[in-house]
Amino acid sequence: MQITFGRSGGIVAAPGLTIEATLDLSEGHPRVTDPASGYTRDLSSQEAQQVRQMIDAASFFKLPTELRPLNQSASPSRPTSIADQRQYDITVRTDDGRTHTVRASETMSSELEQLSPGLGKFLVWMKQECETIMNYRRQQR
Amino acid sequence: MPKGPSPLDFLYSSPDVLINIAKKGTTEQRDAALRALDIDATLRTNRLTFSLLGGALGRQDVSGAAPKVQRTIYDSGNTQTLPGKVVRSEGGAATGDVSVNEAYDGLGATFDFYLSAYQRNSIDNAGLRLDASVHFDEKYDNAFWNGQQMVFGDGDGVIFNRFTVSLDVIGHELTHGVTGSEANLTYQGQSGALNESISDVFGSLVKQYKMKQTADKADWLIGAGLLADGIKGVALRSMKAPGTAYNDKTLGKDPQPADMKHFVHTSQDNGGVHTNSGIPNHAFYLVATAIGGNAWEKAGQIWYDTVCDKQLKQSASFAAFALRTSVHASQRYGATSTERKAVIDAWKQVGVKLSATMSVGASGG
Repeated sequence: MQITFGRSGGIVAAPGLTIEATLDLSEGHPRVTDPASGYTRDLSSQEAQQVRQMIDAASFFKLPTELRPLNQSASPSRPTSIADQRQYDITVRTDDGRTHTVRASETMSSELEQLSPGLGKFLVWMKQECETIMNYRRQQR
Repeated sequence: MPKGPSPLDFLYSSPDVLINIAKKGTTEQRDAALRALDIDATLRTNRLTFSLLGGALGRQDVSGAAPKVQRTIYDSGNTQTLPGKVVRSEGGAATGDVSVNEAYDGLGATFDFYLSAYQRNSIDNAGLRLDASVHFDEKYDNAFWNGQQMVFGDGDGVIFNRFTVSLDVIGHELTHGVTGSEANLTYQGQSGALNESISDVFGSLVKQYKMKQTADKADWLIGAGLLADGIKGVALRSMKAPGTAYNDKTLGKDPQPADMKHFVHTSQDNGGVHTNSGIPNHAFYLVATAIGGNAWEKAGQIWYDTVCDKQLKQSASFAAFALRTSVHASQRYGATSTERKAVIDAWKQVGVKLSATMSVGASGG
């Protein structure tokens, strides 16, 4: 299984803050790569296994591409908003060639967890990995 | 073996529909609908709890009372917890925390601006409390509006300073609340770029109003002071010259277009909402400087009337928004007015067509 994940948007939305990374979960060499900066990180077999378990392909492939927070505001005049929140993209390619992309905003981890068990945890993992990539880019200044 | 429905199958169903399915559906449909209702109820409860605990959802009783700002600043303590701990309430003394004080003062300045310029009583025009959390997350390079409150990060100190440093950024976030209460433009594609642009427009006007600047004296920058020392740039965006705010090794080059010829098609950032906002941003700048004087008085009034226009659809395109600005310029200042001409000329200059039959002197209504 190969996963590409990305981060974009936020009030800044600068090209240099946009991330498009690859997570290769193939047996043997699980690794994260950020082509824009040259960042790579090898995952331990334990971490790779944990990440695999976060993606429940059966439910992930049933999700619509664009996920929005469920609009459950207690006040009709106060709709839930994603304004200036960062957008995270997750594209999963299974070993049999199926591909699906899901997009969500940064505060939706609990909703994702309920929609596809493990996916909220993956969002948290992805946000942390994006920060690690940004730290690497900052050090390159 | 056929599989029963899952809660995902009812993702966009209303509670009424789910209850009906639970009553009348098959056993499998009923179970899935009940699970979906459980998710729905959890989310409702979370948000209601936030409100009852002092969140932004509670409205003031303003019956007969003069509009009065009601601010609460919270400290997230460098976690992702919202709203966090109350650190300054309305009327409370300044604290030793510059972010807390900037947020408090910025919310006050924005409230004053909307009330003085457009007689608007807070975000919802009904005295909604203004809540903001500072110190969100660690080295967080962002600020956002979640429908209930404003959230500000400290910045990483390498690329960004704290996100409360720019008054226009605070005005920008609060204006997302205003737009949500009025046109509620869908945060995707052109309507999303309009949503962003409206926040930039009124964020800039909050600053201009506070500094008593006329259109020709304003810097028309969004986020001046936000970039850390050593970053090559002056701000996040320039309404005067979109695409010129920064050009830096780490940040990259400001990607904003100033006209439709350079419209950016992308799936990132909800369809480039922060990128293509450069086009309506520049249109507003052109209108404001063509009219002259204080930008919030006429150009701002036309844009404000448009945001509050019930005929403006949530999915409005640039052209639809532009047409309504022309209508409101006509209604406020006359069909042959210089204000309406400024509006039509500005949209033409950025390449947005209002309508084939649109011209100065037409009724526009």
